[in-house]
Amino acid sequence: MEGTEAKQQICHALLMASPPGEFNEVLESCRTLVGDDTVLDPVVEEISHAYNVDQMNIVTLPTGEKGLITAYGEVSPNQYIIPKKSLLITYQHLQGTVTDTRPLAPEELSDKEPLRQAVEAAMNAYVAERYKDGVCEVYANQYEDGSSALVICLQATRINATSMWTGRWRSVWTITLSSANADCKGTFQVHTHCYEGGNVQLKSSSEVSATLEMAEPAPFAQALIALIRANEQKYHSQIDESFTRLGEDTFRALRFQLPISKQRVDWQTIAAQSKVGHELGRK
Amino acid sequence: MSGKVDAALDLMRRQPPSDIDATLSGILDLAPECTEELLTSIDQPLKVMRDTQANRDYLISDFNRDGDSYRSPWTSQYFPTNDGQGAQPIPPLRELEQDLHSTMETYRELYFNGGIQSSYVWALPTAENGFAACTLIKKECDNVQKGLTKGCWDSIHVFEVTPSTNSPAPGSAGTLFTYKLTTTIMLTLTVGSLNLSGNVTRQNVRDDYITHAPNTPQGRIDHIKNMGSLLEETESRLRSHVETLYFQKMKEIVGYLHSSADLSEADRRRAAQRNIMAGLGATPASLAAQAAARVGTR
Repeated sequence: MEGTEAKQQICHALLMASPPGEFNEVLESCRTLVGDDTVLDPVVEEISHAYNVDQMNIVTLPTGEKGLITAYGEVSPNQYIIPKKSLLITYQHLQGTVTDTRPLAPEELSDKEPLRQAVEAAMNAYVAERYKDGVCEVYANQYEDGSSALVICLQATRINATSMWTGRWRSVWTITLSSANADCKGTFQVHTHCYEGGNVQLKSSSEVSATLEMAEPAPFAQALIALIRANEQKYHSQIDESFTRLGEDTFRALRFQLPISKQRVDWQTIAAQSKVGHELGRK
Repeated sequence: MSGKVDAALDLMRRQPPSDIDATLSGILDLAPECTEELLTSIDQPLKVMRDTQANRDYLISDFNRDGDSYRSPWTSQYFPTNDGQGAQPIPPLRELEQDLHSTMETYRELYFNGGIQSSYVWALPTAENGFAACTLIKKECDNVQKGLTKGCWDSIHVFEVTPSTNSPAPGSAGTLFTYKLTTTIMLTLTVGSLNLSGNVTRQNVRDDYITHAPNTPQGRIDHIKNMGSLLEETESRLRSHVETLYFQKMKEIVGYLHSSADLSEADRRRAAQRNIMAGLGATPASLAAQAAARVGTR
């Protein structure tokens, strides 16, 4: 039994590290390696749930529109609020399907709903402007201490099988609201995987904080989206700068393209010289 | 068993290359019966060992391992010591190993300007006059001044050298050998919270002559010359490939996920261009000529 638990933990770690869009392939390989489905069957649903929420999985609703599975919309491990449609959906993590939907009643909505809708409209326009495959959700959450927050989740995934790469961008913005100010905290994550003739991955993350003055929903939403646009662009530029710096400094310092002489190695000469040195050293 | 090995290799192609040691140890815990086969088929980041007799570092891998000890290319002794129990290459192969190792020291200095290199040679039981060899190179580079960039490069070159089954060209002097090289480069780069890491593998096969008798000093130089030029060419090409993959392709992918320009703007421009082309029956070349003329009149 102890062995079973250890194997479950190893598979949990392997599955949680799956590159974008490759969870099912990793699961298949884990099953083959373990060679006993009774080890994984009891935990696979739970791991799939943890992975989907962590990755903010994109779900296709019965209407064909796309929503997100996130911790901020989770009512139970299978039930998620899709604010953009005022829906509560029942989601099957392993299959990735929606098996039931129920409209939310007006009394189930937060009193920040007008603000939420204004931010959502501005976010939708912004996502269309910058993310080819972007999906976002804007949640209005009320906490027990009476405070409330907007949480904006944005996820973009592209699986390019022909060019053998996958990539995912995730942003989460938490906007804590008070009467005068809104504290905005953004976290960004990028994970890409190129598997042409090898395995190369980029993992990057960053955080940012800022404060906005409270205003009417429409102008507040505009100010907030301007802040988000600028900071996500800044994060993107930082990644590009890192590529440049690593490529021009670090990579070149590790292995030169050519020796200092700009000539390829004269193997006949260095092999013969080494021979001499080595014969001398041996004496 | 082979299904499990394939599954393990599939996982190694998908799991983050920055966690390769943890991934491999997890896989071995899941399928301990495949340990030997997996250790010989999965490349791991190179580790450094100290030859306390020569007072020099060397690189360890499955190629110079016997039990828990690793043979040093400097003295051919095992560390940690195994009381003279470890396998030794036969004398002509050890001679070749010493020559290869010291030649590759020059190569390492020329291309890496630092780092550690170790070469090993062992017998190929299947081919008379054939042998196998590997050259391992590790270079690390920390640049604290420029905002904590870190890099680590591992090259793993494995040769199989066998008498060629092709017939020599008419009038050629010497013996024809087939040099099969499998090269893996593992490269990890970090700056701040950004990690770019991976491994790429490429195989290269070439026939070449040795003009002197094998197992003579000159014959060994011939072999090393042939192996060296194949290694240099393969590593240089793979370096260019890695450079494109790590910096250009990754940058494109991030740019694909998040666009730095307004997508609808770009769409509008493309649509407008299509309309103009359809309307005028223009070709891209004539459009380019028009654009050039416009720039000229500005």
